[in-house]
Amino acid sequence: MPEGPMAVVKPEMKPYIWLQTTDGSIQQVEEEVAMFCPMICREVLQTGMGSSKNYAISLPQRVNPAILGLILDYCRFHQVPGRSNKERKTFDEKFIKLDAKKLCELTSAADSLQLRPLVDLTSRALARMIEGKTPEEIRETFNLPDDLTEEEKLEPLRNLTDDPRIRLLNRLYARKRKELKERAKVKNVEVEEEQLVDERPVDELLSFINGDGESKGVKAAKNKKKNRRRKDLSGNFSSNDSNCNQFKEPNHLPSGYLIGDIDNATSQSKSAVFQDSASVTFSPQLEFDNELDPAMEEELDREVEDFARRLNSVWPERMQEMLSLGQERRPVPVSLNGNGAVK
Amino acid sequence: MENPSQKRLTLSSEMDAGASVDRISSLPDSVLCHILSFLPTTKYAVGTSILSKRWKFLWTGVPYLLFDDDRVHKSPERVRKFEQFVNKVLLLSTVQNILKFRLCGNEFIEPFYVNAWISTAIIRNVRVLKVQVFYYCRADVVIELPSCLFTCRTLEDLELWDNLDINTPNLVCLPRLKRLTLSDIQYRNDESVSKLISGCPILEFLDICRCSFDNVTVFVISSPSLKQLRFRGPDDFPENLHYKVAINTPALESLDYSNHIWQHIGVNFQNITSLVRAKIDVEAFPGDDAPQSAFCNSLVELVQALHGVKILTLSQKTMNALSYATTCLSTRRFEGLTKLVVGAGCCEWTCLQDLVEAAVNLEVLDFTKNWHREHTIESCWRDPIEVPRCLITSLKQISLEELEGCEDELAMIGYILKHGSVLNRMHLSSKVGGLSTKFQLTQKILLFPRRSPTCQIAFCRQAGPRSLFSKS
Repeated sequence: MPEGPMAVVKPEMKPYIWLQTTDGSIQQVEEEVAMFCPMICREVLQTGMGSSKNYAISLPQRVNPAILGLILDYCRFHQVPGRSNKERKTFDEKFIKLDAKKLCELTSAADSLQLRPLVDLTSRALARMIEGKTPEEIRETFNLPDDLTEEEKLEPLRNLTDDPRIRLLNRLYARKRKELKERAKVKNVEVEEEQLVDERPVDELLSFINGDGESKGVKAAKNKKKNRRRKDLSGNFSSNDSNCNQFKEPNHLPSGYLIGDIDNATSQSKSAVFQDSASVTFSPQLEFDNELDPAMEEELDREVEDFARRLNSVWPERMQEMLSLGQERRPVPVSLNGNGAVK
Repeated sequence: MENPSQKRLTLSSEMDAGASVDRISSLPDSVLCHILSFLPTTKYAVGTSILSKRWKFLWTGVPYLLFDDDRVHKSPERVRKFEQFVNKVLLLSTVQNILKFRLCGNEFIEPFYVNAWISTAIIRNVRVLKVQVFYYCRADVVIELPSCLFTCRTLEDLELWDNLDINTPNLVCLPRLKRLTLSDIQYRNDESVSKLISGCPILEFLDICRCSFDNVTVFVISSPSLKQLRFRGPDDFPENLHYKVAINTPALESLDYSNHIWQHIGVNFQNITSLVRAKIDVEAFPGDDAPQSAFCNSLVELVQALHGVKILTLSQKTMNALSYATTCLSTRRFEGLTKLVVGAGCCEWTCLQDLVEAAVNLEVLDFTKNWHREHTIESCWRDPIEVPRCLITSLKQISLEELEGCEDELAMIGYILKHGSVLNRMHLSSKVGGLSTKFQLTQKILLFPRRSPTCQIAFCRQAGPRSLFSKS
């Protein structure tokens, strides 16, 4: 690297330091301001760079010109020795009023320049943004991808208790996950795969589950659904198949019972579920093989869908509750309980 | 230079304006942990584990483990969950050097766990440790603090609160401990305390709050390095024992002493040569009986022992107790005293006069009152026999708060103005009365003859109820 001997000999003579950002643009900065950054300071003292335009100090990649401007503003203020703590604090508070995007960039740049006080300041501001927000809100603020599976999100719950509801829930989720996987596979084969998402409104589903709704209306809706489903059953048989296998486990627990249990249903609702499905033969020992009644299958799928969706929407609050140990609630399944109101 | 638009295409995605880019996750792990470490408790940090894959285990690198459970609830279920939470966090945490570990828990926590958690923190080189588990209902339960706590090489700040039992082992060696807080602790005997304190060679800050019947008769505080001491005595003390406190701290700069009992105070300042600031607050028991003279005389001795300090703060109740003493404060000169902050209503003015007389080099005098007592003496203000020396030679600034505008006060203010030869500023403030009353008061005072040509009188707006001793 070409050296700048003049710069090394008398650095004090040069009041400006030259800095180059990754986009190639070069700017000159007052020496005392630039030297406030440990990284720049080291570069100047160790290599003698920065004394002229040709020997500008290359700044790390994470520093772009706009952010560099902000950083230099910070340095310019704080490098003045005579300021009182109050003045500095007031400046910092105003300085930090930036949006999440800028704050992240600023943190990144300050970190690469090793400007510790600024990293602390921005980190604190970012922490304030995280604190008190639900996970959904945090994801929105920072554009985080929602890439955890529902089961992964639930993990903290796993070892909390041996509550049978948790086990049921986990089983449902495992089944759902498999379903999603299969569906993804099938999707690649058939482009126009009808979505299995239940398009009925949540309330209707709820009332169906709880047996509050009119049996007629519900029946009609269900039949409609049945008809729609029938078309694709052949295509989906494989997925149903794997789902069926899942249920070989709890032989003593008929699938209908699963739903009823989660519901914490009253006997009324339990009977409602099975009364309406005229074609379903409810027997305590359901044989889960390829001849599973599609209507039953359909109901189970619906339950899981609904459950999943509900979970997604109430999850943030649930998580807060779980972690804050603030309530003596039982785990999530209770949300399906009573009046259809989501707690 | 190349075409700027071309250049722009090669820039990192961070440059994209307005794009919904996840910027924060691209920060290095260490920075993200640093951000999480500013969250108030570990619960919040763990909560970020469900944000996304990147964040799932980030919290495990945060070197602050702060566990706060609501201490008031009585639900064993909640306590179990809390225990499980702490256990899980400690298992998953990858931090080898814990910076701060705080456990504020409910009394139903298993003592076994508390012991294990503290041990974990110590093994992982904790620097700041606070334990506050108040075993109130379960008085029979005793938490055994692990003995490794007393030989921890990395501990810098230790706080033990609420009924913990300290059985100091014979060997106490806390080479890095600078700050120690012992609040409502039960000791085994006198030596527990002295061993603990003398086992901290570089101790600078000590905060002791004694509980009643803590098994210590003579409380010895002996430390060559101690700079700040805050001592709060117990609310109750067995009558057959003699209450004694011995303070041997040659480097002590600041003392905050507070006591609640009427018994004879045996505070022995063996060595306080460096003391600069002292604050004394002796709170009276409820009741209007006059305190015993033995007590008051011991209080006089205590204050006189502080004659070398520069700044002395005495609460109104202290002054009140002093005024019942039979021995006189001014038998000792307070040569070093330059600033005096007192609480003094008209009942305490006699004592105040004594003090001012003794403080021959006083420069600043602040007084306020926050406790009003019906005066038994008819006229509270009596002109002193001799003009106090500091008024003539050194008193530059005086401030009076909570003025009521009564005759006694005006007499006192008039006297000060008349004799204060070097007085620069007088600050007055009052909360009583409306604007017109205040205006009249102001007018009267401004008309008083002033000895000092440079004296300025300022009427400040009082901000609101302000206690002489801030809550801490």
